[in-house]
Amino acid sequence: MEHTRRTFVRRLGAGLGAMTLGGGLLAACGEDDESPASGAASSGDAPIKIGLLSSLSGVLSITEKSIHNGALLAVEQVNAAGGINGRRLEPITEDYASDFTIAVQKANKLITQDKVAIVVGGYTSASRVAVIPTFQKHDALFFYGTYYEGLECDTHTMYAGAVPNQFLVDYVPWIIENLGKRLYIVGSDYIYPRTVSKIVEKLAKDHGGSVVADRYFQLGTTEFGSTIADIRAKRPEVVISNLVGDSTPAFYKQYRSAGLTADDLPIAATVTTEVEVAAMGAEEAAVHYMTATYFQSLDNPANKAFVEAYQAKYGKDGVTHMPLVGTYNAVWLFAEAAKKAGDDLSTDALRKALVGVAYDGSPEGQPAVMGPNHHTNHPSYVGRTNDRGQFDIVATFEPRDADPFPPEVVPAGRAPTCPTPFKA
Amino acid sequence: MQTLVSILSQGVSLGAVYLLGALGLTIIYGVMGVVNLAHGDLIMLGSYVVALTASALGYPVAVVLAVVGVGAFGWLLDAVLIRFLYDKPVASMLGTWGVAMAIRQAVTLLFGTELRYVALPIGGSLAVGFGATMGWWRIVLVAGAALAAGAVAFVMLRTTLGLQMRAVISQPAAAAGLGLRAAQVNRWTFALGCALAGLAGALVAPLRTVFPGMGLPYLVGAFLVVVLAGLGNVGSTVAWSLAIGLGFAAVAVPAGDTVANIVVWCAALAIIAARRTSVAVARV
Repeated sequence: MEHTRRTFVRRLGAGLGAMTLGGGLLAACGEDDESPASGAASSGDAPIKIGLLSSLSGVLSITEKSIHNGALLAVEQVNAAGGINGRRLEPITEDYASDFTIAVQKANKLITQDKVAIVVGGYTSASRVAVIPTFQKHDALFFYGTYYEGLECDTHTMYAGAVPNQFLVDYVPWIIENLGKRLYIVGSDYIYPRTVSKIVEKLAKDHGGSVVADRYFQLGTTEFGSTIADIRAKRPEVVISNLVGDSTPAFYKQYRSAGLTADDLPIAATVTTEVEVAAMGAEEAAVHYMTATYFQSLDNPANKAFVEAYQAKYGKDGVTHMPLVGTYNAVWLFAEAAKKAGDDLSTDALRKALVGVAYDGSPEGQPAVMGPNHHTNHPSYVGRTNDRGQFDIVATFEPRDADPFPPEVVPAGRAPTCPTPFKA
Repeated sequence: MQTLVSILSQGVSLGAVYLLGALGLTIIYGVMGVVNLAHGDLIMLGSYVVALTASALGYPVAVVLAVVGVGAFGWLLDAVLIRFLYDKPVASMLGTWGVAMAIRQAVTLLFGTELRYVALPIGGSLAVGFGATMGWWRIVLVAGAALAAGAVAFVMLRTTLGLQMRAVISQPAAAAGLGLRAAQVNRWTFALGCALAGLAGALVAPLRTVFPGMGLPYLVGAFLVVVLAGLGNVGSTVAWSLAIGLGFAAVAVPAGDTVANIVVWCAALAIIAARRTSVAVARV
C-alpha cells in the first residue's frame, strides 16, 4: 500500500515536472513571437500580405474551396483596381483540412511567421470559435464571412456574414401575412437552428401567429416519416425548416412523397440553399420558400458583374452562395479600411478605420457597411425555388443592422456591450 | 384514429428498413461468427451505385448493379480478409471496422462529400384512411423487404447452400467432419449478406440522403434487430424488425424521434439485460 502510494506520488511529481517544462517551452516560443503589427506596418510599395484560412481538403472542402475562390477573386479585383494606396494585396493560403486543431496552428503561422495584416476565412462556427483566442493572443484581426447564430461580438473578429435578426425580422411577418399563421418548426439539433427557432417563435407571436409544435433532430437524421405524420395531424399552415445539410434533402423528398405539396402546406426554410436543392432535385424543392441575404439569382448590377467574374474565373457552372459572398465582401471591406488607414496597418488603426467603412459593390445589392459592433448590415430576400434549382425573388427587404444579442434570445439588460472580448 | 393509422403505416415502413439492414448482417453473423461492422458502409456503397448509375441506366438496372456489385465486392473481401476472422468476434469487429473506414474514405476520395441525388422512381402517395397517407415509395420499400426476407428464407430452407449454412450454424465441427467445404459456404454466405446490403442501399437511396457517412445509422439499427432477434433466423428477424419499427413509430409520431430513441433503446437494453447475453456470447 505504502509502496504504491509512494510510486504514485513520484509519478505525479514527474508528470507535473514534464508539464512545467512543456509550459516553459511554450512560453519561450511565445516570447520569440514578434508583434504581427510591427511586421505588417512596413510602408512603401511593398505588398500587403493577407492570410486566407480555408479547408481545401477534408469534409468541409466542398464549400470552403468555393469560399476561398471568393476571397481570391476579391484580392484579384482589389489589385486590378490599383491595390491599396499603390500597394498590392498578396494572398497567402493555408489549408486547415477541416481540422480545427490545424486551423489554430495555421492561424498562428499566418500571424507570427508570414506577418499577415489580417486573416480571412473559417466556415463553421466551430472553426471560428477555435481560432478566435489565437487572434486575441497575438492582437491580430480575423475576418469571418459566414452567416451564423450570433451571441458573440469579439474585439478581434470582423463578422461580414449575417446574424439571425437580419433575415428573420422581416421574413416571419411576411410568412404570416402571405403563407399562414400556424407554424410547425423542424430543425437540426444544435445552436444555430435552436437560436433561429427561438427568434421565429417570438416574432410569430408578436405578429399574430403561433407555433403549433417544434421538433429537433440530431445531425445526420434522414428519416422523417413520424414527424410528417405528426405534421399532417396537427394541420399547420406553414412548416418552418431549420434543418441543415444531409437532413434537408431527405425531409423534402419524404414530405412530397407523403402527398404534401407546396400549394397546400408550403415549407419556409432558413438554411435550404442552392446546394441542398441540387442534392434533392429541383422538383422536390419547388415551389417552397427560403430566406437569405444573398441568392445567386439576385437581379442587381453588382451581383451580375460578380457572378460573371466568378464564372469567368472558375467555370460557367460555378455556384455562388451566402458564405462565399460574405467572405468576398470581407476582403473588400478590409481593402477599403486599409485605404483609409494609410501607412499604419496595425490592429488598432485598422479596427478604427473598419468601423463605418462601406463596400459599394456588394453582390447582396446594397452597400455593405461595417457597424460599431463589428458586424455588417445586410438586406434580406425571400426566394421561391424554381424548377431549375434556383430561387425566384418574391420579396425584398431593406438592409438591417446586426443584433448579435437579439431580445428574442437574450433577456433585456443581459446583452453585453459590443464588441466584447470573446469567451469560448 | 389518424394517429393510430399513421403509427401503423410508419411503423411498418420503418420495420422494412430495419429488416433490409438486418437480413444481411444476421446471416453473416449466424454462419460465420463475423460481426460485420462494415455493413452500414456496404449499404452506403449500394446507394452510391444507384446514385451514380440510375440517371444513365434507369433505376431497375441500377438496383441490379447495386446487388451484384456489392455482392461481388463481398466475395472479394472474404477472399482477401474476412476468411482470417471467422469465429473471432472481437478480431472481426476490429477488422470490419477498418474495412468500414477504408470504404468510407475511398468513396470520399473518389466522389467527394457532397450530397447525392437519386430521383424517386415512383412519386405520390396512397391514402390509407383517416387522413393518413403512405408514400408509394415506402410501400415499395415494404414490398422489397418482404421479397428479400422471402428470398433469404427460400435460400436457407430450400437450397443446398441453405442446408449447408444451417449445418455450419448448428454443428460446425460435425459439418466439417462430414466433408462440408466450410470455406465455400462461408464465402457465398458473405457475398449474399453483402448483396442484401447493396439491395438495402439501393432501395432507401431515393427516399433518404446519399453521402459517404450515411451508413452508420443503418448499421446501428441492424445491430439492434440482430441482437434482439438472434442469429440466422429469418422469421425472428422479421418479427423483431416490425416490433422495433412499430414501437419506434408509436412514440415518435406523437412525441418526436428524440423521445422515441430513448424509449426504444432503454427497452432494448432491458430486454438484453434480462436475457443475460451479449454480442460476444450470443452465438449458440
